[in-house]
Amino acid sequence: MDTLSMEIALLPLVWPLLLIGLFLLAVPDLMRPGLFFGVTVDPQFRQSQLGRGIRRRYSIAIGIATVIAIAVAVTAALAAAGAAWAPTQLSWALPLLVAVGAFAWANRATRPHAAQRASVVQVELSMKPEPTAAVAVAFAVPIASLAALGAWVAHHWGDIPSRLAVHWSFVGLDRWVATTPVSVATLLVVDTVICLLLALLAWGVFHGSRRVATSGEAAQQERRFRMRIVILLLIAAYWVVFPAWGSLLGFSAAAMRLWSFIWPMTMLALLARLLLAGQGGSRGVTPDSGAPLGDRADDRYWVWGLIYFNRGDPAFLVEKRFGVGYTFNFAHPFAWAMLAVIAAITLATWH
Amino acid sequence: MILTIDLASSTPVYRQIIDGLRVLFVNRRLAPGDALPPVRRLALDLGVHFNTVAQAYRALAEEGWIQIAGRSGARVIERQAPDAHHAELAADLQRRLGELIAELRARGYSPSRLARDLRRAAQSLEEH
Repeated sequence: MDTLSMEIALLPLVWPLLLIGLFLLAVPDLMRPGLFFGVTVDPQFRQSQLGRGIRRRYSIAIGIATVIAIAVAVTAALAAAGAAWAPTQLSWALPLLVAVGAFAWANRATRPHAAQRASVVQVELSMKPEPTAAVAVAFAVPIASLAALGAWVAHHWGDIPSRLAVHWSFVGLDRWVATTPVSVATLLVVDTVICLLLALLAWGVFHGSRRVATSGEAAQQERRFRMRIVILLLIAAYWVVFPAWGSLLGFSAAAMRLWSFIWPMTMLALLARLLLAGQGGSRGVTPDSGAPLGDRADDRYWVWGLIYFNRGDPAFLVEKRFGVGYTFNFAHPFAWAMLAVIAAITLATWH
Repeated sequence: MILTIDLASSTPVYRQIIDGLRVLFVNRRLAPGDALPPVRRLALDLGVHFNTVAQAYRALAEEGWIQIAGRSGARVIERQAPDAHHAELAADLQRRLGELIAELRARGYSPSRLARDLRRAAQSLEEH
């Protein structure tokens, strides 16, 4: 293999690691202005000497971890000509593990400088309701389509292909099993459960999480942010059901490849939009808009700024303090029920 | 229409919700026909237990201010003021005003400022 071909072959290994590294470096900037490494602080703290020092150490840790991860991945790939997948895949975990450790350290260093939590809460009573019915219909379509597909398959068993796609990636379908009543039923049931789970998460974003801002510009941005998260979940649901359709109805390989490319790209574009908007849409809000400080969750219930556990909070989803989007309130039984379903799906689809 | 709650106050949250909403009803900021958020929504936004909001809504329904409409929330209704027993109400007013004045003075509120604010409140009442 000449040098140019080698460099091109290594690119797929390097760019995801670079992207992960860049994302982890940007994490502190994605948070609400009043949050610094999972701690509610005065917005000026970020620019203070102490704040900048904490941020610098976090960035150095991420930078070193990313460089080591790239070096490990490239060395392993060159040494074993692509066969050494274990070190290559393990190198992906390194920046994430270092980021978690560095974030937890930064959280501990910031805690002594936490701002006094505001005890006064203001809620706008006349806010426009969320478009729950429209979203429910949008989720019902893929779920109903799986039921319809099941009924069709039962009446046209002889017409379906002899092998069934059970896995797909950016390049299209890449894993098949023999078509049997059990494999078909498993595919349809697992896809239905995943769609229901995504629908439940969307419901949770609307009805199981707290609105940090309920009035003014901040509330509008937050509303858009929540809607984008729900659309992301919807896209994921449609992405999940399509291979079942394609595989059982015998769609062409080109159509499946196109689908496998378009949907992740759409999701990536939406994710990029979410990252640009910042947590809760906070980057689109002017600093003097009167938005509440932080995310109104009590710092005491955040473990290392990563895990939220508050029995007194009725919300089962809360805004993440590491990354963008929502995480579970691990003190809420509903969160554990959903985690159990996720674990069951993972186990059912392991092989 | 903003509802303000102080989670650190010694007054229970359900009491604060009742008092806060009643002020909005009396001042007609929330008029008959207006919808209140569902119990679940308001509890999530305030960060308090669902029962706390449900208890406040029930109390307001018993007072005749709202009609609870299941999961969709509650609606403000036309309310007939009950026959007033003026002597009893006056005694209640005196007692509660006395308690409020004592509490505010204990927290450092000056008597002159208190008198000015009370006059302003009385003036606003007369204008209505």
